[in-house]
Amino acid sequence: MSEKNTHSKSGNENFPLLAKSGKTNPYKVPEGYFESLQQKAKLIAAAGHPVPKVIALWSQLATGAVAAAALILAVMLFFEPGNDQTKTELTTEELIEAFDLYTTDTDIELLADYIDQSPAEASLRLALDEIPEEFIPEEFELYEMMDDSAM
Amino acid sequence: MTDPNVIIHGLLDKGAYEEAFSFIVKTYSERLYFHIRRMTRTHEDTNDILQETLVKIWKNLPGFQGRSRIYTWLNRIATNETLTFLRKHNRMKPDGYNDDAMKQLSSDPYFDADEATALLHTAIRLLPPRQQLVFNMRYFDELPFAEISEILDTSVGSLKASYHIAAKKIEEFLRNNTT
Repeated sequence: MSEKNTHSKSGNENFPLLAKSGKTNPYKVPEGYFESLQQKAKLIAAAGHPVPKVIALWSQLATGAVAAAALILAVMLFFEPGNDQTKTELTTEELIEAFDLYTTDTDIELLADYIDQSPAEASLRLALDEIPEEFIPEEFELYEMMDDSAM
Repeated sequence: MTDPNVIIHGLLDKGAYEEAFSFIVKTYSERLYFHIRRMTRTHEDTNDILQETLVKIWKNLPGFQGRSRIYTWLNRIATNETLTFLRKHNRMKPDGYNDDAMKQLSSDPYFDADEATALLHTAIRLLPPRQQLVFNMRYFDELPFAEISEILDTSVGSLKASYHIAAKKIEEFLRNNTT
């Protein structure tokens, strides 16, 4: 079975009210709206031809070298012994956003432990909107297993 | 029917950008509109974002390499434009629930739904924007997590977790508000 269809199966089991709500599209558009977009598209195109970007090889190499140097420098600064940045705590905004993903007290405790253990890593990963695999709530893992088994 | 990806690539290979763009607008603008609409509050906002999206698509068309499906590429542009709009208008934090939330939705002249559907869309609007995005792409657009991952540049595991949490919050909202 394709991934497309697994939602309805596991969804029905986990979220009965949601499954009952259906997928009807309640949003409407003014009459003739999509037809008018065709005209707008012509106007956009008439405003000027898009130009294919030609990037010289030396320019690509130079950009790559600068990016690599910047990355090395950032890593060196970040992990420098005694550097306060390695002990950086999460900002309030990051914490709110992270806790928003964790809906039960147990999950929040789990995340709080993770932040305590490695605040710098937690800060980085949460800023990237990544939930560390090892800290994905247990309940979700069950859901994921059901999802996979339906595939 | 020929795969739209094939048609677009054929046109781009010939340098027929205008024809390719016109084909994209004709084939995908409705789908892109509703993708944006679910994240915004009004038709007017959606229209503004969609127009910006079309301008970006036109400008970047020669750079489309075909490494991803055309809709994935278009959706990524539309999603970025939507998030930029929401950030610009300070709408990245969801509103707290109040009695007016559903009334506000129901008073939208371009929203026409029965009570159950209105309740579902109210619940979605109360989610943080990224959770809304993940939920909408998966639930309504039925995109595979791998494709959503490519659009949002986020790991599949994280997306599955976000989806699950969003669905759980919606279920709870529906349970508390269904009469």
